[in-house]
Amino acid sequence: MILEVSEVSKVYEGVNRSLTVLDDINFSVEEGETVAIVGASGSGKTTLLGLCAGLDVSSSGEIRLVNHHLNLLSENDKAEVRNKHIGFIFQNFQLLPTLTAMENVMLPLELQDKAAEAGHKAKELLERVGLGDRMNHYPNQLSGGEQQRVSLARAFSNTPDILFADEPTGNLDDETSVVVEKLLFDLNKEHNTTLVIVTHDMELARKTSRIIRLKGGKIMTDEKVKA
Amino acid sequence: MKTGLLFKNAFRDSRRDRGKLILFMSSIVLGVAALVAINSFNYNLVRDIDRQAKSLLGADLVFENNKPFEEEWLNVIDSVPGEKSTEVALLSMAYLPQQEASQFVRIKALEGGFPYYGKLLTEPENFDFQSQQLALVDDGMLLQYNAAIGDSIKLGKATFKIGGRLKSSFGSVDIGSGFAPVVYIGRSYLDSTDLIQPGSLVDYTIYRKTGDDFDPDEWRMLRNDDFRDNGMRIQTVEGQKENLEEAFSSLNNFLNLIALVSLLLACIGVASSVLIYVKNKVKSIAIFRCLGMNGNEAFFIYFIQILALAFLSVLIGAAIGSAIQVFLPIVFESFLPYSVEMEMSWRAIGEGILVGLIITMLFALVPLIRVRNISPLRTLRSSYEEERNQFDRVEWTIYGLIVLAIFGFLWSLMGNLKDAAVFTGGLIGAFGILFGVARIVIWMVRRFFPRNWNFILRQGLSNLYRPNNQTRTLIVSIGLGTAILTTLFIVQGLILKNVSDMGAGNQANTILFGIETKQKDELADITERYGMPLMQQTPIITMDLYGWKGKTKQEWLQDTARTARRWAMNREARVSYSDTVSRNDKVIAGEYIGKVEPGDSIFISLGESWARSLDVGLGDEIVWNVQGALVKTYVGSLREINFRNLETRFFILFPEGVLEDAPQFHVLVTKTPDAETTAAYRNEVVQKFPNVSIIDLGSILVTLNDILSKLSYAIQFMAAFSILIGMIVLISSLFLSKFQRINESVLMRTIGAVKKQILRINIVEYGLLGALSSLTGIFIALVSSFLLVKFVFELNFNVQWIPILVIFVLVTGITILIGLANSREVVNKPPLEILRDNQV
Ligand SMILES: Nc1ncnc2c1ncn2[C@@H]1O[C@H](COP(=O)(O)OP(=O)(O)OP(=O)(O)O)[C@@H](O)[C@H]1O
Ligand SMILES: [Mg+2]
Repeated sequence: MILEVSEVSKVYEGVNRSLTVLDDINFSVEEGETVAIVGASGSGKTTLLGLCAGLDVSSSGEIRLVNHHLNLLSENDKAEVRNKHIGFIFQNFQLLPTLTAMENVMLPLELQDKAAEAGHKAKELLERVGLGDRMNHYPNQLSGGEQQRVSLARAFSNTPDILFADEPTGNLDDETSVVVEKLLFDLNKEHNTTLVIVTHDMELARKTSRIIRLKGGKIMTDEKVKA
Repeated sequence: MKTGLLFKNAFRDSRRDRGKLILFMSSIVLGVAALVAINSFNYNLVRDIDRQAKSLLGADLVFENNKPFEEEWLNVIDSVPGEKSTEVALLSMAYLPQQEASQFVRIKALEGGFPYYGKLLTEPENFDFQSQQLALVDDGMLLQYNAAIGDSIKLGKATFKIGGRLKSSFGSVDIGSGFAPVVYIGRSYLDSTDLIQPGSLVDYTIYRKTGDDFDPDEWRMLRNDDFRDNGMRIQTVEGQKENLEEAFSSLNNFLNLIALVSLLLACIGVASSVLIYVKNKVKSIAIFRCLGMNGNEAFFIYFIQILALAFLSVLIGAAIGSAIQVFLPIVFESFLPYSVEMEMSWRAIGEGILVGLIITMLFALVPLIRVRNISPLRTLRSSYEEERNQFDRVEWTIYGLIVLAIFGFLWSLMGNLKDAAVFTGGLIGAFGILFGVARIVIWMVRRFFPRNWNFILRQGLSNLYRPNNQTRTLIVSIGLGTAILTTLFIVQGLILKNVSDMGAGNQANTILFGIETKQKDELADITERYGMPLMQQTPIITMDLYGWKGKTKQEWLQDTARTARRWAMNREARVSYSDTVSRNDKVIAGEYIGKVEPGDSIFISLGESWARSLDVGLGDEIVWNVQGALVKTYVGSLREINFRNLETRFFILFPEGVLEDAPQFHVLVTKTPDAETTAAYRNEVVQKFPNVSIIDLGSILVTLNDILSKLSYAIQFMAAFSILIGMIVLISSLFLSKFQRINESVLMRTIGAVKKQILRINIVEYGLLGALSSLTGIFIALVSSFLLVKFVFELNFNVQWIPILVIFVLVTGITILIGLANSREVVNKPPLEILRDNQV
């Protein structure tokens, strides 16, 4: 198991009442699996993703990620786990505006002190996503789809064991979506990377091997997709 | 993560935003420039004092006494090998017959080769006034009365030809010269003036030039106490150096304080610019964190950026400061007894860089350390608000260090723990008040938000508390700047007003002294003939303190357990007698007895402060030496003496019936109606009674005004730095907040707000900010100037509101103008362009 979520809840304490956003969530993900998390707006998808990736702290319950008990790790340890094992793709790309496409992709490896390898790898990945000729452009000189592809390249640059994506195609047109999706699944096949994708897009969800349906902070269904 | 990589990322990250910080850093540049300029000047001054002290004193050893040197002491002085000159100096009236003008002057009668180092600047050069009956007269005085070489000047009973002009008066700092210009004559001609009478105010000086193998300081060390106990003073070049350095160090300390306050002001700007910079970078920081960078590394990336910029600004500031110091001698010219040559002072530059860097970085750290706590969750949720109510130990440590750094700097400046603590406390208080006001304003606006006002007012008002507001920064920087300037302004105005009040209404404005008993009645007649009142006619007798409480003064001097203060013992007693206490005085202990019958015990009245310093109380015995005769008295009453008008007052007051036959002078105090009468009256008195001196308040006021305006020139020069820095902080705060507000303004324009509406919203916002901060600043100024005037200068406090109103309107107006200038860009550019520019 690369990810195990057991009895996880997330409660936001309000001024006079508390808001339970996630309520007793249980599931686990195996290595190489591709999982889609779907649900209505406000059902808690992003919150769940943030918890799984160690960006946030749960109110109760336990999460094991790549054999680490996230609850037991310090902020700095969690940062290191993210850097070594995890990739991210965000709905709104989240590229560093002050870095070029190339530098954005190099960053995770540089953080691992693998600067020498980084340039080579970044170039390869950017060519792979079709941006070989835009490497020295800044994010605001790229279109939305291009930015998303850079963020994809960055997510793969440290060859992660597990990749979290929060609506990776949410802001893209159909054609670009298809390109991005294909890249995601290709990389999954080549490196056996586990994919956890939050999405509204049922078509994308059906391409994964498993769909988890959230409603009001609870798991409604958790079923395998028939091929 | 390797340090090299952190540096690389710091560089990359700053690449596109450096411009935003540079404007802010310019405030540090100015702050450090002020510090370096003042300190360079200071060090140059001290160095030149070292170089020139010898020619300032003019001799190796100088002896001063307020009565003729006695035989015994002359023998001691003559035991020093080398050359000798003597000088007798006194204040007196001079009369210029050709110009029909009279002037209060300081006569110096000189004999010998003084000055031995340096020389008197005269025209004709090396003019010899000692061997002929010629006077060397202050150039300024000759110019004032349009007198020339060859005219006459009457001093006492003798008339001299004016033989030369004195271009620069010697040795002392030039400040009093407008009041009593110097006239040099030969020592041998002094007697013919007949000005020296028992009891007149005369200073006797002996100058010695010693050989190279003689150590004047060692000689002085051995005998200084003896001389001092007998009312004399010995000066050497070394001692003179120390005196001068001391005299200038308080001015320098004061200017340094202004420079420090300017630097602090700049640092407020730094802190707020870094805060906004960091806020702009939150997204980037969250991504860094998400990709696996830990909090300290993220912090370090921004720390390096700020450190590099701060270092650069401090260096530029030091360079500009060294350039500015070249102009400082021009500003301070009128104070300096000699010319100062300006050289690069590496020490000042080093200190400026160090102090600037430390204080800047400490202030920048306050917002910077928050970078450590920025959560990676921000990548998922841009609105995510950090919960940072909890106590952050590092943050408080930094606040502590800031206070410590300021205190340390002040301590090294003032060399006095208590003063440094008081001033640090004052600064913290001022900052506290300003921050408090800002908080209260934000809270009040929120709490009592007027929902039914029109849109423009509401929008302007709500800008005060919305995210990224500049309320705190602006109130602190504008408020502090206003406070400093207003304080200077109020204090300066009050000193002048207190002095001019002395002559207002029915108060006396003219005082005549040195009147002999036989002249007294005729002088009173003349005064009444001019229609002027005789406000005070008092005798003055000089006497020496012989002993008190059963011991003689000599015995007390030997007594190690004595409690009396030295100044109180050595003071030459100037005594009057009267049957009543002056209306300026208040008896606070005992009872005043106005008349004593021959043979009865004599009860005198003492000024309370003098009695305290001599440590005597009611009933204690005091023995006086009245020109040879011993007179035994008892303390009968103590008075509190009010010094707020021109009438003479006496620490020691005898009853009638004791001193009538002792040699004495009289003082006459009156009020002249106007300048013409003053001049006519003065001329008549001087011609009839050459020995009588007249001082009128008008000339004192002119001199004081002159001194104060020279002083305030220097202060204003430094204050200009503060203003400039305040302005830059203001402009750059607004400039940065523009980036915060731009999207919103653009959105409003897209929705259809017209230019006028946006400008009006800004007028409301900045008008409120300007008004609030200048009001708070003025309030602080009122408090601090009240404390200064009351406890340091000990004067009456009252405020002129009109100039303060002007300050208020001006500061508010400037704030609005700068605010508007800033938003012009928003209004004039097409929305799209701004959005693209500002894309983060
Ligand atoms: N900091 C917070 N404080 C209080 N409530 C919060 C906070 N963050 C999120 N929520 C609430 O938690 C619920 C789940 O939010 P979440 O972002 O996980 O939903 P989502 O499923 O990702 O929705 P969408 O599809 O719109 O992105 C929402 O109702 C949201 O309002
Ligand atoms: Mg979401």
